Parts: sequence; C-alpha cells; structure tokens
Amino acid sequence: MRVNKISQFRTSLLFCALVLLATFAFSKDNTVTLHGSIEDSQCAYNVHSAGHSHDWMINKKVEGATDAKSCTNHCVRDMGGNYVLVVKDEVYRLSDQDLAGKFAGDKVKITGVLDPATHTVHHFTIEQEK
Amino acid sequence: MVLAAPIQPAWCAPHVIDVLADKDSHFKIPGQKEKQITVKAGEPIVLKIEARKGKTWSRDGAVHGFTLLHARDHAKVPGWDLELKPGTQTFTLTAPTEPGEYEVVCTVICSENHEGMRMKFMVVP
Repeated sequence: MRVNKISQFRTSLLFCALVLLATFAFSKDNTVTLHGSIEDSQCAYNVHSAGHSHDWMINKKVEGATDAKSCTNHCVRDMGGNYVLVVKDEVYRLSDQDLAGKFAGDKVKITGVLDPATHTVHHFTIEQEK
Repeated sequence: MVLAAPIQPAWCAPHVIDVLADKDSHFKIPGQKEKQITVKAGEPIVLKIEARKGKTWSRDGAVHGFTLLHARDHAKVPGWDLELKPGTQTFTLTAPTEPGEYEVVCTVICSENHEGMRMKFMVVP
C-alpha cells in the first residue's frame, strides 16, 4: 500500500516536472521582440493597405478616422476590429487588447511569447518608441 | 417491441438563420425585406452565411466579417466575431442572454461601402 502511494507521488512529481519543463521550453523558444505599430485588424489586413494601412480610410474621409490613432480606435471601438501589431507587412494578433489599446496608432516595441499557430503574441510588455 | 424515440422539445431545436453577406457590402436575409434578425435570449442558433467577395478583402482570405456588438456601447459579444471566407459557412452559436438591441457589423474592409455594412439584431426575452 505504502509502496503504491510512493510510486503515485513519484509519478505526479515527474508529471509536474515535465509540464514545467515544457512550459519553460515553449516560452523560452518563442519569446520575441518586435518593433512595429499598433493598428486595427481591419486596416492592417486590408489587401490593398500593406505598409500604409490607414490611407484607404482617411482618403475616403470616413467619419472618426483622420489619422493613425483615430482610425485605429474608430475601427476597434465602433466597427468590431481588434488591436494588432503591424511589423512591415506582417500582422500579429495581440492577446491583451486593453493593454494594446493604450498604444493605438503608436510605434512600439513589444516583447512577448509568440504562438506561431495563431500568430498571436501573449504575455507581452509594450514600450512606446519614437 | 416498439421503442419510443426521444422527443426533442421545440425550444431545444436551434433557430436556423440564413444570411447573405453580399458583394455590394450589404447583409441580406433571403426572403425578407427588412435587414434585421430577431432571436430569443439564450436560444441555440445555427447561422448559415453565404459570403460573396466585394471590391476589397482581407489578406487572410476573409471577404467579410460578421461581428455582433451591443448597440448601446459597441462592446463585442463574446463568441460572435466571425470571419467569412467566400462561400457558405455554418456557425453554431448561442444568442446573447441579455435582451436588447444589438448590431451586426462587417469587420473586413470589403468596399467603399464597408462602413455601412451593418444590420440590426434584436434579442427578445
């Protein structure tokens, strides 16, 4: 009986160690630092807008979209979009929308864990850049 | 021996809703003039959406979006943020539990009329 319990305990301990190791390995391997700008998913993913996302909306004189910041916030707050990070032509989804929203339209440096399957950055820190 | 088949109560059957997300940047309900969806709070819904490509689309291949927002503050309804690829897609969803007025918006810049691609969505008790 006692031997069984010890064996169970060892198995549990081994399992926990493996989970911790896997978590550590995942986060270590996928930690990225990216430099780009916080934009909205609608403009960022528009097929015609690569590299100049908001021009389309601003040129159309869409109400509430006069510059990068206002266009980003309009598309997210009024039109159901999401805040994303745009790095040249690459678009990254961001797990913490509240945090990303504080930097709408800004150039930023983001450090976080990238999930390559969903192209989403998790657990990130963010700094404004000039 | 005759085995009785389980009878599914009417309220359990999902409310099937057909929607056309058209190339002219309008949501349409086939067979209905009014652009409005009305559902009961919390009822199961099967949404069958046919999406047709407009003038522009998203780089990930989506041609329209179908996102449900609260009308009062434009807050998103969790689980109702759908990306539409060309063709017909079926989504199994649950209606919001809070009765009131909602709005469906397109989240893909699909044409010059994208901003107007909206539809009323009413949730009744």
